[in-house]
Amino acid sequence: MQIHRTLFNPAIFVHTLCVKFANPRYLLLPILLVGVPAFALLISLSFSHMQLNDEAKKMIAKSVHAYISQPSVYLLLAFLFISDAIASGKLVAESDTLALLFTRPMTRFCYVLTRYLAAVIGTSFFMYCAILLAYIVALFYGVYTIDIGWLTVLSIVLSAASWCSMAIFLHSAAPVVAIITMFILFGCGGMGSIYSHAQEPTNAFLQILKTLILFLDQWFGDFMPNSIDLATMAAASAFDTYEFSIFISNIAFFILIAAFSLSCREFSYGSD
Amino acid sequence: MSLIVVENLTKTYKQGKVKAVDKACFEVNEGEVFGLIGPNGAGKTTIFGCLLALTEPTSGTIKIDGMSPFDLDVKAQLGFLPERPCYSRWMTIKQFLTYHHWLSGRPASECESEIKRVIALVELDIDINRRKVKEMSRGMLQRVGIAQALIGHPRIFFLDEPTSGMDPLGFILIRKLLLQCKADGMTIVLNSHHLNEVEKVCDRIAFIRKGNIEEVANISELAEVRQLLIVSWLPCEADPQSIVAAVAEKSDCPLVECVGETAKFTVASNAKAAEIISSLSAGGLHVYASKFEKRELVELFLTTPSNSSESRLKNLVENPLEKSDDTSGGSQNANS
Repeated sequence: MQIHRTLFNPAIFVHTLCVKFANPRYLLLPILLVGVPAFALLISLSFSHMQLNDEAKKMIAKSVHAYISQPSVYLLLAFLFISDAIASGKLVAESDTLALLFTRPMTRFCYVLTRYLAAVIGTSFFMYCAILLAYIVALFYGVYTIDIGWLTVLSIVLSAASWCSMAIFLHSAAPVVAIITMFILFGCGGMGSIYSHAQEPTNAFLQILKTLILFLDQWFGDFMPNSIDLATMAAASAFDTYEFSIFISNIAFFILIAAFSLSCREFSYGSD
Repeated sequence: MSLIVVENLTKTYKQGKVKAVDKACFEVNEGEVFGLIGPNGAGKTTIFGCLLALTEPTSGTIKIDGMSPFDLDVKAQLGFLPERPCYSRWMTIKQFLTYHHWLSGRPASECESEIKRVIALVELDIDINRRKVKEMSRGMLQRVGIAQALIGHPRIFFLDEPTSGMDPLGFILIRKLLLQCKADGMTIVLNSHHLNEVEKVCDRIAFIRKGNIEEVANISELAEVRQLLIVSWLPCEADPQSIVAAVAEKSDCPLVECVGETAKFTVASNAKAAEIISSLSAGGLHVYASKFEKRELVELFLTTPSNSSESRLKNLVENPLEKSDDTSGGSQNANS
């Protein structure tokens, strides 16, 4: 049997996207995540006695859009698709499952791309369901300000693509590498933003520490995946190509290092 | 014809501080059952990892059907039963097997019939549509693992500890299955601690210790080498000790012991046994009974390790009852 190298494996795609949700129990978490903005709207609109003027309606739309830009929600959904841990109901040694998988005629790059694609589709679907549900609830109360147009769809897909690229890297890399990368990226980003707003320290050590963290943040902070709001970008007087190109290059970067780490990864007792 | 050729395979970890496999060389012929035996930590699973392209060798070459193990065409011909059965726990057995059928690149139209075939082969009498992987016992999981490995009639079948966690019926099943696969022309590479099972199914075995392949031997040759000939004769006035010693020296078969009217010789072949019996009779002893006592593979496994490939057999021939003090990895093998 002649095997051809492909970039897409239907078995991995279906497995990532559908099979693990064959049991309705595993749908509970995504359904909860989808229902959060709609439920919050329902509660606030039912019980509040505020005047629904234009300003309030804009605020409602803004808060719903803030939810669909939440990195934590994207990351959670992305991991739900990419990692087997949640569906398995316990933390399993994924390296053992992967070892068996890679004895099959499939390249590791193909595995990364397929799994990533499936995760992006799945995450986008649930996020769009979340905003759609919120939109329906808002309509019921006469709020028409929530945008569900194609710019929102594209923003959701791109944001999902961004966070899924990080999730696929964390899944593909050896656990130690993944954890260290997480610390560096989140640490630099988080600490950098805190220190940039902090007062000038008087202590020399703290001064050096602040300089170091800001330096790392300057170099590595941009590597952090991000959510994107195309509607806001499109409404600006000039499209921010710089920000957009960083956003796209980060996605490509994470997919490439995911494929690279998985290709370098060895599956045996001593390797991880 | 050699299907798998391994030359000077070396695998080290931690920048060369830990040598898991050291210049291993062996060949596996098409259609044969090849066993890798050795104590825990000997490097068997690392060799498996290299053969299955799960780890990159530090040096040396591996050719499977003339290709690198990383080649997808090679992977399409493999079936693998891992030592640790960590499968996707939430799947039903049917989903799991369908998934692996799909991954193996076989046509979807064959899926149903193929799953039925492998389930029948491993004698898994459960509702595969409802039972989940996480509900399986260790022995059942092993059967599921074998079923996934057999999907699509692989040409080469790698089994890492196939009998672990199995009950006696499972042992019999594995043996039957391997013999059936062998009869179908499949090449099997087996890694096991259960030496009795290895002995029953393997054509050749490689002894591995501390990453070194100490010996690659034919089971049939070992069977001959491992024979002890016990000869009994009627009481007589002649000095049996001197006759027996002379016969042993003449026939080049070491005398193990001679007590009363019974002597034990180590014999390398049936012809040698016949020669000893006729020589004893010619020497004046009235031989009335003789029998072979077969030594188990585990005894051979426990003999003193050596670097020379021939000295193990020689050691066994010359000191058939000697066992090694080195029980670091062999103790659990003896138990098995």
